[in-house]
Amino acid sequence: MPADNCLTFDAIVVGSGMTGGWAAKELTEQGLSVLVLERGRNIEHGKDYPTAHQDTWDLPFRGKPTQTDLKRQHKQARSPFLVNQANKHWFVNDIEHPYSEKKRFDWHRGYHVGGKSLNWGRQCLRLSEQDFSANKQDGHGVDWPVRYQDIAPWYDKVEHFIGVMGESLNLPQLPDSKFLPAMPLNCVEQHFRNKLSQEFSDRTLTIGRVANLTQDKGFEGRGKCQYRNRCTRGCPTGSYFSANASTLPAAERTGLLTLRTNAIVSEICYDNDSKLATGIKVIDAKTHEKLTFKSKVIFCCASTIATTSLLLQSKSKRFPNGLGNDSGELGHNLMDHHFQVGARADVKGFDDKYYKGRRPVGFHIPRFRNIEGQDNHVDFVRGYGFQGYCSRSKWQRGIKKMSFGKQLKESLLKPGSWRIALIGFGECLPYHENKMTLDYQKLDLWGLPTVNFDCQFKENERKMREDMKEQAIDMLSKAGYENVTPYEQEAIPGHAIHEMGTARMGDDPQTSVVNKYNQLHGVANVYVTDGSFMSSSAYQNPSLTYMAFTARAAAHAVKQFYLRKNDHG
Amino acid sequence: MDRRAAITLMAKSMGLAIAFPTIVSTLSACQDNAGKENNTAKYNLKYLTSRQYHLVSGLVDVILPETDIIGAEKLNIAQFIDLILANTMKAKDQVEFSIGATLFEVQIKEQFNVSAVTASVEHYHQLLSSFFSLSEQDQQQIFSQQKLPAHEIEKTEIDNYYLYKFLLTTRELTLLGYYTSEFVGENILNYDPVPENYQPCIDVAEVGNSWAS
Repeated sequence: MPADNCLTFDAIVVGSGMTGGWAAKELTEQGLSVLVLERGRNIEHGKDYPTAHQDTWDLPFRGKPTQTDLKRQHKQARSPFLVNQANKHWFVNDIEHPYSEKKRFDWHRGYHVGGKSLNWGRQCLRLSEQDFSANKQDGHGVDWPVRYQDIAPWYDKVEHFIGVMGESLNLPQLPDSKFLPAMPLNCVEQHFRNKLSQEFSDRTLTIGRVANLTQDKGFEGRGKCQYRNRCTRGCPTGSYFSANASTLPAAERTGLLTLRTNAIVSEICYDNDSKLATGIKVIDAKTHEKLTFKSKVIFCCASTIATTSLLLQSKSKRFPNGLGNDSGELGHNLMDHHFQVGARADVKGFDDKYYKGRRPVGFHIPRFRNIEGQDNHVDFVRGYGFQGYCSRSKWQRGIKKMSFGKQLKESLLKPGSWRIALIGFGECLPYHENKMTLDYQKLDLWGLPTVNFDCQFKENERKMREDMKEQAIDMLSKAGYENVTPYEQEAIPGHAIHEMGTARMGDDPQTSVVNKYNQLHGVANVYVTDGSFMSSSAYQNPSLTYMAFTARAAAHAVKQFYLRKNDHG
Repeated sequence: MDRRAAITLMAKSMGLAIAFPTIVSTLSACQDNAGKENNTAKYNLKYLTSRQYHLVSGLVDVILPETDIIGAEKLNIAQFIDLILANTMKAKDQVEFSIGATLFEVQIKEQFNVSAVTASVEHYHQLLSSFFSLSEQDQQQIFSQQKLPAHEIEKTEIDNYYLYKFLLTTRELTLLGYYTSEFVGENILNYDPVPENYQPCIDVAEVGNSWAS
């Protein structure tokens, strides 16, 4: 381990989360000394999950946030689940970390070691060949400079290390992972699956594919899922993948990792003679002390918005509009999945059936629209899938009623009727005008510009949502379920917490920010591997893809590092 | 077995060392014992007045009465409601609750010529029945009306609006306090802190009651 006062490293990784952890692991395992900078506080895996073991009655106010909590986290509270007493410490204080929005954008994040990998939904879906060719096919955005076959081996590698549970389906639009044994579907989910295969020829239902371990052989320091379904609070047995439980310890084991917390990276330093970045400037979050660290390679893994902010802040004579921003596309083509649309129904006839254990995932209906070779006659491009939930209701079913007394009390102790819900997740096109900019008139506590969002879903997304709702209603109706009710909330960018784009990948430096190896066009030793590099959003939950590209980019960076090292003797 | 023991056992079987956050015990101790049974410690009201507390206690006992299964009164649910009102509710909702409580107290006086403190369980039962024994259609109308803000309610309806705000809030918080209480969660509902595996399709008869959260 380098000395405490060391200021020079082989590589610097900005961010310690989903992709920062992977960059740290890959780079250290291949012999580089790595400094990881995390702007937030340290989190010790297992010890720093204060709500992990708490039952509802252990949480203050049974989990309800206070009015003070809600004021402090007034934007995070747009997604109420994030700010309940079990989870609120994972999300920012909006007063300390403000942002602006020309149109409403829900920017959800937390600043701590592990980032969103500590409380993500764990869904791991591979992008397909069709997804990588989509931009070329329909002309939206710029063509991806890679195809599925380039990334497949890296999906393999990441899945092998993190563990992804699921069922193989052999669908071209949703490639299979190297799966751990699938968690089973409950009786009603089985019934729905059978009904779908009877009533539809083009779609299927499967268990959601998540990074939860159903076997623990070969996963150092991690144990099998215990079906507590408290993943978002942090898992003491590391049963789902997080940087804290998995990649950061792997990097630690090499002895080459230095992790500095409360370190806000404010700028990447660029040298015009070498045409390379030389290092980064840091502001200590607590003391406001300014430091500089040097390295041969830099990985930007701070998450989409933070990485692009950093690049925009890194101005020089060569790059007056932000590092690597010859194209002018930096900050543009912001995307997020739209969701919160679908349908619900009641399921009769299974009153004598129940389940034991809290499975930490629902079911999944993969994309069935606009599949290559099929003709759906729909009025939108790209596609969507469904996350599904099916359970017996609990005491909460008694709330919107006026009953009282012995019978009410006793009936609410029993499981209620079965209910099923389909929630669609849809692709968002890359629109140039959807963007984030920096506001130098509104500085944060550290003197850095704050972010302003100008992003909205448009016609293609609106039409897709109509179809999502109709199809959900159709599927539940054809299955014979009762009280089929459409469900739709207004689609707000950012709300799905899959924000991506703003430093998109492409072959042409005039229309893209990074190349096919995630290197900034024009700055060969800066890699951008968090969500910001995405050129299209597909419908699939994106973190698995970010991790795969990170591992691939790290391999490229390591090769370049040793070549350069050998060149210089 | 208690949950700490269950998790330790589980971890040992996996050959893992896990550390328990010390903050867990601190948070439990801070709960003020509200909503726990056999609480003999003095509880200092944080929002409700003493008379409002009697009203809420009376209602709580009628909503989820004591039978051969414990009732909400023994679990000190009125104290729990006071805690929730004081700490989590918007000022506007607190005020509307208080107005409704006062109007309900007036009803008790008018109907039975007793005060909140001297009213019996039977009085509370009768009065609550008169408000809650509505047709399905009338109930839905009330629920719809409750979704509107107070300033959109007709003057002739506003007293009714506040009364139902008070009664329905009390009812909802009674349910919340009862079904998420430690006693009910661990002793009456099925408590399964570390399931270890997932059984997707069992007979309800195997477990009887619903799983606790």
